[in-house]
Amino acid sequence: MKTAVNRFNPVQDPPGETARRPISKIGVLPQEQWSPDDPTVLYEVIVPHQVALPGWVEPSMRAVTEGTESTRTTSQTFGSRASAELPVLRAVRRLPPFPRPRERFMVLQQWEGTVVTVSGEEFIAVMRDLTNPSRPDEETTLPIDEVPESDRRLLVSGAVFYWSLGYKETLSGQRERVAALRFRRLPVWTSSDLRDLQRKADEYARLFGRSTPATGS
Amino acid sequence: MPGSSADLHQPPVVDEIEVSLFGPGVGESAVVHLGGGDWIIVDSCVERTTGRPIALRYLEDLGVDVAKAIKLIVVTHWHDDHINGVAAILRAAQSARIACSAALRSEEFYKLIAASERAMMVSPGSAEFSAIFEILTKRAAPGVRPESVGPDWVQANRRLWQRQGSGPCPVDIFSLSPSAASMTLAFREFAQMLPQEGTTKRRLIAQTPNEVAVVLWIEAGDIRILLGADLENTCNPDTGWQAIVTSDARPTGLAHVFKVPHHGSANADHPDVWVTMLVINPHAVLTAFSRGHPLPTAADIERLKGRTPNAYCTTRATRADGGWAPPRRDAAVERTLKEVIRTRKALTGPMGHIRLRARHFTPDSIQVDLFNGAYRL
Repeated sequence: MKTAVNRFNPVQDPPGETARRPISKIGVLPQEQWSPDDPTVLYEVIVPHQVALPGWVEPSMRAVTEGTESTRTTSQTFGSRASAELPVLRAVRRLPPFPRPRERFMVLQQWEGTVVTVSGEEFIAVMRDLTNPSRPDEETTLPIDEVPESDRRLLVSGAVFYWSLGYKETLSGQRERVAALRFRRLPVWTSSDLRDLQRKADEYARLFGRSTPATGS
Repeated sequence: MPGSSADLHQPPVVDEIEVSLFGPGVGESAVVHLGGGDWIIVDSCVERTTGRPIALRYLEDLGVDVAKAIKLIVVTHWHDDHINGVAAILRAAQSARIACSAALRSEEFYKLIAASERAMMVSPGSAEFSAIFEILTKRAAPGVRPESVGPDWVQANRRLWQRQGSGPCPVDIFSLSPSAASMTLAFREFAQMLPQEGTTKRRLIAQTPNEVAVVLWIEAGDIRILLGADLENTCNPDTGWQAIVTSDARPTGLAHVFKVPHHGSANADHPDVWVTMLVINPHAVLTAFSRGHPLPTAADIERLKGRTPNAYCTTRATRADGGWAPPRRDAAVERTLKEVIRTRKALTGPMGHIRLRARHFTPDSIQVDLFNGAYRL
């Protein structure tokens, strides 16, 4: 029986891997070949059906008997540090991870807002309906409290933000109404940008001319 | 008595002048028939439902061949509410010249256009100018400078367009502004808006009074029309309406139709305009403005009614805050809005339309029709 197997390091494998691809050659798979991994990631290990699986392959496995082989899927465990080997008849395969339950945000309404003025504890913005663009723009007064602390410095006239209203469904199945306001982050003007502006302005002047303040001609 | 029983889609006859003013609450557009099938468009706003300029839609509904019939497009100034959709009009109006304030023909304004392109947060005004420049560049014949196809850079007391021999009557269109002093102020204003190194990129917002708008004087047969754009008064006698009223280079005569500037606001009202430039009881038309402090105010309306009994506005807000009720949304959205926001109003209502027509270009035959919510003050 071959003893050499490829060392497998699941950390290097891209998360969300959906293709079943072999991660080791057939032969003997020592315990030390296994590396820490996400407990939701499963491996398919095909071993002769009469083989007793060592402790480091247990506890969770699903066994399906096919002919003279047992097909087992398992997650690795690190309970036993005793040296052990697992004779594998085919390459160990990494299976697609179980879909993890996640929080969901269901957007009911989204606006793009442009700040017009900031005054005291509130600001005025013109809101463009992104959910239904045929609806009229709205002028809205919002409390500054609605702006996350991390975005307060962005709250100036001309700043653009997105305001999304909807429901959040938590992992426990609860549903909450949420309003999320996020400012668009743009970089600062650099000297290179300003040189580009000058170049473009020069191009426009070359194409369309330039007035002089005194005469306007 | 003006009313809306007239046929909206009946085009003017060949010897009939028409001035149509459109406005939904933010934005305005004037469409003028000079007789003989020649049209001009002054400023533009779009229909919310289609995104198309109302001027184009109106002319197409009349059966006008916009590619040939539109002779001149005037952009009175660069603010969003006056320029939205102008590029689409220019693209369609292949025979038209486009005229803009000469104050925009400046390095500072060109930089603002370029800055908007780079900031990836383009405001409608700057986006329209980018598109206008692109159209003109493509329109120029190879090897010919785009400057030859426009824009026509407008300043005070210049002739923009003329029709002499052909057509039912001679027509002259003059610009009465901006003055040279206004342009100098504009260059300074633009320079103050330019981005500085190290500052965050953001959208362009125009906040200062309008001193560089293009005011037009139209003479067609016996009728004279004064289109006041958004020009406001200033304390500088060489700028704003004072410069126009005191100018001895402008055309003489008194106008029968007046597009009241800046939505009838007090800071755009100059009593001498009514005394020295308008006939007694002219037909005065204006658009409403619902953003910020709504216009016209009740005091503005009373002042205008005192100047002429023939004053009309394109649209009337349905709420005391000068806006309209926003459309209702999902119940959960409405609950959240009620909890969070302090004030809220829709900025536009129906696209109101005031139409003035006069047969044979005679002032006594002016007929006023009001459509889609336009009303007499």
